[in-house]
Amino acid sequence: MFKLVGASRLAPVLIQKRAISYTLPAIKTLDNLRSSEKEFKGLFSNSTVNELWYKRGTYLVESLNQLLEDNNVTERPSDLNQLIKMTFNKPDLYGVHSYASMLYNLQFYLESLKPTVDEASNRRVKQYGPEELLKTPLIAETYNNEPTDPELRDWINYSFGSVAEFRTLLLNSAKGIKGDGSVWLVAQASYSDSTVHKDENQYNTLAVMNTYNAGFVNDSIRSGQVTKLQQQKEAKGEFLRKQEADEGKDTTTTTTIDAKVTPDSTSNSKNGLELGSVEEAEAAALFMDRRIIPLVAIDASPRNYILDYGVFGKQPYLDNVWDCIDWSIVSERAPKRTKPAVDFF
Amino acid sequence: MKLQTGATSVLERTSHYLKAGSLRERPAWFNVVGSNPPMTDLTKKAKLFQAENPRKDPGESIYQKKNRQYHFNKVQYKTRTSSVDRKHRHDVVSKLPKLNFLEDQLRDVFYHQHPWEFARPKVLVENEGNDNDTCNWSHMLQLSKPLDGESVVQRTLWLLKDSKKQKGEASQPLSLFEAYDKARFEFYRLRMDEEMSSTVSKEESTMLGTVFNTTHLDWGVAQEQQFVDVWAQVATEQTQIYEAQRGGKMASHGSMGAEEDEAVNDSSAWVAAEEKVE
Amino acid sequence: MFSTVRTALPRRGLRALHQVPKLAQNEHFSVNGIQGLYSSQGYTKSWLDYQKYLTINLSLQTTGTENELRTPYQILLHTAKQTTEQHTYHFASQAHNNHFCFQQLTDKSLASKTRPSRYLMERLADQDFATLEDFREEFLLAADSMLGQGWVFLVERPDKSLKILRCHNDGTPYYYGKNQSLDLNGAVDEASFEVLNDLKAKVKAGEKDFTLPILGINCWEYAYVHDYGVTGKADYLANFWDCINWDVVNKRLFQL
Repeated sequence: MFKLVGASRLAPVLIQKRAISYTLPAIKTLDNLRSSEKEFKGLFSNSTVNELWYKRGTYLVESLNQLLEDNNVTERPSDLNQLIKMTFNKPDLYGVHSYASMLYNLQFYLESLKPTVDEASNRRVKQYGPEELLKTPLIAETYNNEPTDPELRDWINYSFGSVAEFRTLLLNSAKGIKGDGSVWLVAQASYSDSTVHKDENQYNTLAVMNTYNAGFVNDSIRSGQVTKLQQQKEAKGEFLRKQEADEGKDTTTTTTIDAKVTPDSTSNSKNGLELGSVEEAEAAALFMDRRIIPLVAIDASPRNYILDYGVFGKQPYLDNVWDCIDWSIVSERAPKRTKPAVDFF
Repeated sequence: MKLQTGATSVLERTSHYLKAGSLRERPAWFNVVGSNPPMTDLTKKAKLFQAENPRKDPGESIYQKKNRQYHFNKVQYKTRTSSVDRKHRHDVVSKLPKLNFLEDQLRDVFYHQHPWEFARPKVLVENEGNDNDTCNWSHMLQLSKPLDGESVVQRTLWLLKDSKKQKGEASQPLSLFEAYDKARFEFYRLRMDEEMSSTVSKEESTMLGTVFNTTHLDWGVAQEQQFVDVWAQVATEQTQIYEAQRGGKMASHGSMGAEEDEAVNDSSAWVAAEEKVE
Repeated sequence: MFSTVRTALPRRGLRALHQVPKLAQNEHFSVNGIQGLYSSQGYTKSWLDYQKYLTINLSLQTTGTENELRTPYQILLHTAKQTTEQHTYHFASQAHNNHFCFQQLTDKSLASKTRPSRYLMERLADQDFATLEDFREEFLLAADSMLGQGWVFLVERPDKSLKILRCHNDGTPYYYGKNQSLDLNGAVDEASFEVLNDLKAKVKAGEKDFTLPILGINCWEYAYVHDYGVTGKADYLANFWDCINWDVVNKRLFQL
């Protein structure tokens, strides 16, 4: 019966407790709102905060605990981040990883926010109609709630040109996300993990990136897993070929096996004049094991704006999120900035 | 050529004929044309004499006092037109005045600044020929019209007009440059928006297992490769000829040299290669 | 079956905008909602508003292009393979899928009087779904366990066999390259990698896809957040099942 799926999640009666189970983390601003039954000024109504964090957060935590029980995961680090990294390369723990990652993303997003005192953004919390889609965007050079910390400002100016340009980029990337996903401001290490000592990572640029569904922002642990699988497959093919050769079979069968095992072996046999595909170039360059530190997250999933802003209200929702970003927390999260000795630009 | 006004004055002439009795019966179309006269006057008119600052009709200057008085106490009159006065020819007289529109100047500026905007195809079909009337330029995006240079032009004009309307308030009316820049930056913002939407959508769907056969980049490289292949062949031939012309004493060298000895081809490589491409 | 999904085509050569198609019971639904599934406000949000959102965006993307006069179904097929047109594809695919799912809904009292045809049941039995209850469990489980937004379809493959197809986000059942049934955001296991490789090979060979959807269910938050809350997906899915008008679904299955 279908209903049982939902019910069994909530009733872990017979399973022995072997390790800690996770609980909903406390977010001070939200807890205060909940006890005083006030709205999140300038962004959410009280009931939406309840839906987004207390109901959904609890749901995520419960599902996570249930999945940990179901999969007999005994090693449970108290830090969610550690759990995510631990489960990332284990496809059989896909569910655990996904729920942990979703919880982490949601918490990170909500912790980046503070209620705003700005009346204008408070007035923007309302239901929007279809005319909102045709509205002309603002083209100001300065906006409300820009970061004031001079170091952070300077870093943003260095990486994006100006705060206004950064805001446009950040909010446009968020607006582009159609389904579930978050946009992140991250500090990026200039060298990959393998080239420098891990403890002296050098962060010199800020960047904006997106994650979708249960994607995890620090993708240094990903390091091009599809490429890795491809390599594994090729190595397997190589091994098979060797085995065949050792058994003394003739060369014709060996080549047929080769063609079967690696369907895109054509890419290897290209002559020097032909270019590879864009995909190959991306695979070679994109996923260097760079370390990334997230500074801000904005959740762009539909649930965040449907309730208070309506179906048409994504843009005003994002404008309001900007007004509610707590830049002091961002400054705290930011790693020490390394300025390059030589600036090539 | 004499101005041809016969066709448009047919009603006038016919009614003269009727009055004079040279026509007995009214033609069947007479009443209809009388009550529905042509909307536009197709008569070619001597615009030079009707414009704001008209060139004077030479006939009007006759029997007027002369500007310059050559003899004291004598009033002098002009009695004949001079050859300069009579120099007007029909082609000058009936020349259409140049139409000047602010929109055209704005279009000119915009498309000179953004020449690649011309690369976007444009649909010229309109349902009733008044599609611009359905647009509301208080916002940049229009449902019935794609975002392009024309949007910037129309939005600029609207901003100009609107800022003048709000004169009573503290706000200063915009200058043409300010209005144009405002419209232009709105245009940039919307283009950025669309580009980001497209990029993010592609990335998002790739993360969910979408597979594309070819990207625009790949396709472009493949197209280019075809012509590079042709060029390689032609270059080989050209090098061969060039080296032969230099005296032939010099031994061929370089990477092309090895193949030259075999590549003996009388017809042009371009023709052969282009056929292959097609 | 497409004639029902397609909106009326405008005359050739004329310009036109994309509009929200009118459901047969629209007046009734907008006042009373869909009994057993949506309140009238929930209906307005998930159909009238969301479909309006999609068609306005579709008009903005397609006006003055070759896609202007095409139906969402045609647009999604034309743009599915174009890497720079994926945002247009999104709005077209969503508009089509949403219309497809809303067409099969009716009040619970009416829906309970309809049954899947014997032919449909036979075909389901071929896939080891002995009873409708078995199929319901499998179908709704696929929908409930899908992370993020998406659609779940029952599709008919060219060999006439039925299959449950999970499409993340704006995936479409009509073209295998855009099914979006994988989730590569987390760890990629070997099975998904094989599926991906298989898809690549098929795309490279230019293989055609003749799959057609029979039944669809909307798992986007637009469909349930208003009436069921952020965590109300499971309840929504159960109610959705009760409001399926099987007469509509039966007709979608080609039968001589």
